[in-house]
Amino acid sequence: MPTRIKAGTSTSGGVFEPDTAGTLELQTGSTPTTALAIDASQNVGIGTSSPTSYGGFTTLAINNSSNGGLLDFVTNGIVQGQIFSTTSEMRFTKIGANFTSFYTNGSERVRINSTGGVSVGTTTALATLTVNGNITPVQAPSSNWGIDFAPSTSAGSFVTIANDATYDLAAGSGLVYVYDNAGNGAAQYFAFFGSTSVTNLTGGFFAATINTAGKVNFYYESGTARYRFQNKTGSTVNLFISTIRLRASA
Amino acid sequence: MTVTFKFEKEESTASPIYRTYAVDETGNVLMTWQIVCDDESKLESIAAEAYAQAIANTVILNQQGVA
Repeated sequence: MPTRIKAGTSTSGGVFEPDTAGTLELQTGSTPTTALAIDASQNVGIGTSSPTSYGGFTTLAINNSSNGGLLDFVTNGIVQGQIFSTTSEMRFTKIGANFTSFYTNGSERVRINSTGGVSVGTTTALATLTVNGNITPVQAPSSNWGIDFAPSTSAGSFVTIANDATYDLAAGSGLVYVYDNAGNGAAQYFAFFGSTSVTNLTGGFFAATINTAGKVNFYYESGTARYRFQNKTGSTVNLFISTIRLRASA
Repeated sequence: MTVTFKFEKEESTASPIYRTYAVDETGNVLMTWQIVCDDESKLESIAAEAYAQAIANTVILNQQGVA
């Protein structure tokens, strides 16, 4: 069958029909190079004469010998979003101070806002990660499970507080667990609407009263409306601090 | 192994907080943590002391919580 260009029909605007069952190529440039290729299985290639092919799928392959493929989503000439991949990275980008959302079954499930806040089950991120629903660790209770706060290395994540320096926790009420990495003691505090109390204490290293000499003190600092650790031990301390926040303070 | 320290100042509501990185000769980050300190000139020595203390007192647990 010769190559034919056919006029439109009731179902198509027009047809370009190649003369073989091979790939249809559109070439551009002073040295003609394949810009667009459509193989006999309707797989489409951009920047390649050999679109990738997979059984049961129709593919769009975007090829570049340097970086790779990139899709631009454009509104009235202005790029609004991008998807691209290089040899080392797959990136989804929303241009500007906007958000990216993920839907299933017709409803938004996950959103990433313009400052990196991730919200699950809600469109409003109240923190770096906000979940409207339950979070369920699925490890067996007998193993080492739970929520790990900013782990770094095998030593975990700790805060070093210089002598006489202070470290603030966000406002709120809840439980605070702290221990000193040098083995000087551990404490469990209850922080509740502007007051703190020690509910469990190992050793005499911690106190709940400001300016107690020789101790790490945990108290409410009204000027900043924060709960504050104050190092009055006379030397630097390494503290592991975990919090379970029950509710925001008034 | 030679360990050096890098510091990045973070937002603070009280004493300045520095994100601290302990880095080996090849640039691998061995540990990262926060240092709270009012005197920037003491950061290096505080970091060295804190790192040594953390390494000395670290007990690595397996998944069953056993050392």
